[in-house]
Amino acid sequence: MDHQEILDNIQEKVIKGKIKEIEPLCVDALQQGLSAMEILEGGLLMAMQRVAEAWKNGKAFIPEVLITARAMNIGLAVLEPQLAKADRKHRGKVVIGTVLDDLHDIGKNLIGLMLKSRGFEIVDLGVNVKPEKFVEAIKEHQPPILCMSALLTTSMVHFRKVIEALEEAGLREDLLICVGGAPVTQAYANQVKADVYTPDAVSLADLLEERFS
Amino acid sequence: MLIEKGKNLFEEIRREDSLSALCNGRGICGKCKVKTDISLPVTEAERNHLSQLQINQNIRLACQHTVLEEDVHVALIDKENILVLGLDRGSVPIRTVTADLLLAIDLGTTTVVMVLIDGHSGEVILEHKFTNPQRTYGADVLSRIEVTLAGNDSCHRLIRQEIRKFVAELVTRFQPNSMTIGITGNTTMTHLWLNADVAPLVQIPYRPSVSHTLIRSIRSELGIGVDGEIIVYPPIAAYLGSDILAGISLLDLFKKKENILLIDLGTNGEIVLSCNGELSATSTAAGPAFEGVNMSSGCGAVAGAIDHFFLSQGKLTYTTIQEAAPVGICGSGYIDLIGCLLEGPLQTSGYLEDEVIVVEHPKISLTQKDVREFQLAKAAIRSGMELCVERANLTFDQIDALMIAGGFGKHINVDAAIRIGLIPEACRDKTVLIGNSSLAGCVSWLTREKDIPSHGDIERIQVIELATSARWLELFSEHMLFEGGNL
Repeated sequence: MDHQEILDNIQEKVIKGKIKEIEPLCVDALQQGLSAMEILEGGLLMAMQRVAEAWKNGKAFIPEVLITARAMNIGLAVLEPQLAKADRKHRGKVVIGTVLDDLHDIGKNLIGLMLKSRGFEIVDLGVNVKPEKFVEAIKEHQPPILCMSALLTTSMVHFRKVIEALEEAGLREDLLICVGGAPVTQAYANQVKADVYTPDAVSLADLLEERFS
Repeated sequence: MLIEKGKNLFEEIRREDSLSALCNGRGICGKCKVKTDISLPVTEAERNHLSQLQINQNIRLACQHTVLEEDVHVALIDKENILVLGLDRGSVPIRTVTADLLLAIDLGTTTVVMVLIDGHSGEVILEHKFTNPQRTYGADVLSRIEVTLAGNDSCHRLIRQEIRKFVAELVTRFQPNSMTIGITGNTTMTHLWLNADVAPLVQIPYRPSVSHTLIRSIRSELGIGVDGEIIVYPPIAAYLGSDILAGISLLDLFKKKENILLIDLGTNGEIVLSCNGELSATSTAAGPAFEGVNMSSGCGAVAGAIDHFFLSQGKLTYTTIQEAAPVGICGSGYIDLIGCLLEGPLQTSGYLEDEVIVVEHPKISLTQKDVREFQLAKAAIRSGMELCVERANLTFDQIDALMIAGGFGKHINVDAAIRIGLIPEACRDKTVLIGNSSLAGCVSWLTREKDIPSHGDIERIQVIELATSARWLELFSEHMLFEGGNL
C-alpha cells in the first residue's frame, strides 16, 4: 500500500466506526513512515470532514458524526505523543458552553468537535453555564472566539445576559461571539447583539476556518 | 351467557360483549372479571387480583381460562370498568356520587379533550375536543412559558375563556344542581391554567411551583352559577404532569407486582417504569413530530389524514381517517410510511436519496428533513425507555407489559413501530394500546373509582433526568438508526 492508500483506509475505518482497527492502523501507518501530522490530517480529520460534508448535505446525521468522532478520538490518542506541538496548525482558542438553565450538550459538543477537527483549541465550559463563568473563562483564556449554545426557548435569553456581562467587564470588543441551537435564528442573534449565527455546526466551522485562516 | 366446553372463555366473551381487557388477556390488568356458576381452578394471576371472598364467590379473570373443561355459565361484572379510549364506552362506574355532572378535562398542549359524565348513572353524556387556543403562542410548552414570563398572561386567559364558555353552555343545557370538574395535563398546562408561577419550571433544578391538588369553587374560578368544585390534580415533576400521574393511577402501577412500562406518546414523551410498585419516570423532548407538527406534510388526526400505509405487491397504498380525500399524514401514518420505505429506498441510517411523493395533488410527501425530524423523536422515546429499563437492571425480556398511551397511541401499528425501532422486538406480544390514559385516569378520579396518589407516593417516584446522563446520549445516538429488531 502506498501512503495515500494507507490514509484512505484509515478514513474508511474511522467513518465506519471500526474502533478496534483504528489503533493498529495508526501504529502501522507510523511504521510505514507516515508522520503523525500526515495521519492526523490526511486520515482522521479528513474522515471527520467527509462526514461533516455529508451531514451538511443531508446524507449523514448525528449518529454518523458521533460514531466518527469516537473513532477519531481513539486515533488521536495514538498520535498525540508524536505530535510535536509546533507542527499542529493552530487557529486559536474557542471557549464553548451551553447557557444557564439548559442541560443540553449534544449541539455544543458537535460544535466543539467540528472546530477541533479544523485545528481550533477548545475550552469547554459544559452545560448550565452562568454568565459569570463565561466572563471568568474569557478573562482567563483570552480567546478570539466564544460560542454559546441553547436548546430551549426559555434559556436562550441568557445569550443577552452573557453578552451584557462581557460588555460590562470590558471584554466584548475583541471577541467574536457566536450563538446557535435549535430555537435560535439570525434575527434573534442580531437582537442580542451576537456577531455570528449559523444554522448548523458545519457552517460555523466553515465560517470560522475562513476567518481565522 | 353459556360458554361451551373446550372454548376460550376470554375470546368468547370478548366476541359477545365489551369486556375490559386493558392488558389484552395477559392476566396483568385484572379487569376481565366474570362470575361463573361453577368453581373454576384458581391461577396465580387471579390470586394477585382477586380477594379470597371474590374467589369464593366464583369470580375469576376470563383471560385465565382458555380451554374450558365443561360448559360454564358466566356473567360479566365490572363491565365498564375502564374508559380505555376516552370515549368508546357508554358508561363508567360511579363509586361515590359527588355531583350531578362530572366533567373531566385533559389539557393537552395541542388538543384539549373533555368528557361529560352523569354523576349518578355514570353514563357518558358527551365528549368534546378543541385545539388549545394557546397555540398562537407556540406549539411547544416552552414558547408559552417564555411569553408568560415576559409578562403576557394571554395563555392563562385564553384557556380560561374557552373552558368557561364550554362549561357555561353545559350548565345552560343540562341545568345541574352541582358539578365537579377535574383537570389533568402536563405541568406547564396546569400551571398556566392556575396562573401559577412558571419560572421554576425552566430554572434548574426545574421544579413545579404547585405540587398539590388544588380545589376551588366553580363559582369563584369561572364565575358560573353552579355549585361544585374544580379540582386541579397534582404534577409529579416539572416535566411529568398530572396527565401521566392519571395513567399511573388508572393502571394501578403503585400496586402492581409486574414490570410495566407506560409510554405516553406526545410532544413530551413521558415514560414510567413500574417494577413491583417502585416507580421511575422520565420525559423526553420528543418534539411534536408524532403529532404531525414540523413535518412537511404532517397534520393532526383529522378527517383526510393518512393514518395507515401498506405495501401491497411492492406498491404503497394508504387509508385516511373517515375515508376522506387525503390532506396530510398524521403520526400513525408516519410510523407506517417509514416502516414501509425501509423495505425500499430508505436506508437504516435514515438517508433518503429522493423525496417520496405519496399524493400528487395536494402534494403529500416524505422528505429527507421529515425523516431526520422523525428520527430525533423516535430516538428520544426509545432511548428514554432503554435508560429507564437499564437503570432498573432489567432487560425488555423482563418487561411484562408495554402500555402505549396518547391521543394517537390507539391507532399505531405495533409491527411498524417495531420495524422502525420505536418499540423493542422483545415487547412485540406485550404491547397494549390504551388510548388517552390522562383523560381516562381523570375520569377514574372524579368517579372515585381510583384514589389520587398521596403526596408521599408521588414523591417516591424516581425522576430520571436524561440530558445529564452520558449513557443516555449513547442510547439516543444509537437509536436514531432505524435498526428495528436487529439491535
